[in-house]
Amino acid sequence: MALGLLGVIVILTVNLVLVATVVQRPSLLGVAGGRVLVFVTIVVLPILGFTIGFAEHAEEAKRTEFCVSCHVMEPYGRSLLIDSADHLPASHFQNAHVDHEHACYVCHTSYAMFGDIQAKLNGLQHLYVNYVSGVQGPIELYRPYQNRECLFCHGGARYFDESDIHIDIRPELERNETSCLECHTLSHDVAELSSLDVWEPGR
Amino acid sequence: MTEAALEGALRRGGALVAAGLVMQLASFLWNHPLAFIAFAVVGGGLVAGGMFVFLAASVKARTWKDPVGTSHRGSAGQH
Repeated sequence: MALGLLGVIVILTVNLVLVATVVQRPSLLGVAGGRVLVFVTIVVLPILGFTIGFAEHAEEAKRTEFCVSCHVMEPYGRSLLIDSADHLPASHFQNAHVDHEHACYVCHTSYAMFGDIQAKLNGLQHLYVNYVSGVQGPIELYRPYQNRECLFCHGGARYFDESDIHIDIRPELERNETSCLECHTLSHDVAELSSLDVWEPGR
Repeated sequence: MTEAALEGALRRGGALVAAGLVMQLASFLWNHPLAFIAFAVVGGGLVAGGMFVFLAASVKARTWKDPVGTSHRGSAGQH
């Protein structure tokens, strides 16, 4: 949404001021122009504010900070700092192959509220589990990791397309019959996190 | 429904909408899943409730003034 956070705040604040005005002067209902103002204030502007505010919150939800704000996700955030080029998420993060501000979303585009209806319902369930029932056992993806997330960036890149091993299995990769993770096996590796060296930016 | 009742509904509905807008504004102070829920469910719910209170009272007031739309049909019939 082009309006951005400032635009949302301006619209909601103007709406709030107008609501305070019409509530203090309900006699506005007695004149035609006043009724239009009341209708715009109580019905039209709140719908507009909700629509662009929702879009702004959805945009904010793509931020790394948002994803790792739940306790259970903290190790996954820390795994981006594993000091090893073999760990894919860490390697991508530390070499700026993914935008640091949107590090999770770049590789998990169909997750929770950004996926289909089922994914959105799963996102709500995550909240329930996180705050009410509690997380049981290790967390896992709902379905195997999709190669399209990798191919979105790597597919079409010269170093990828001209690699013999990739040329041989390219059709299987595109059909998701062979997972990229079958060869590139190290991902977040949170189970081993405490025993792995961690990169400290700036040192 | 009297004008006073409609004005009362505007006050009650307006108060709910205002509370919802405050909640929605406050939700932007925090980048967290609960802030999103505060915006959409709590703020959106209060705003929707306020809109409903006002719109329901408006429809009632209109129905009370013109129970079966006779004045409209009557004027149409004169043409």
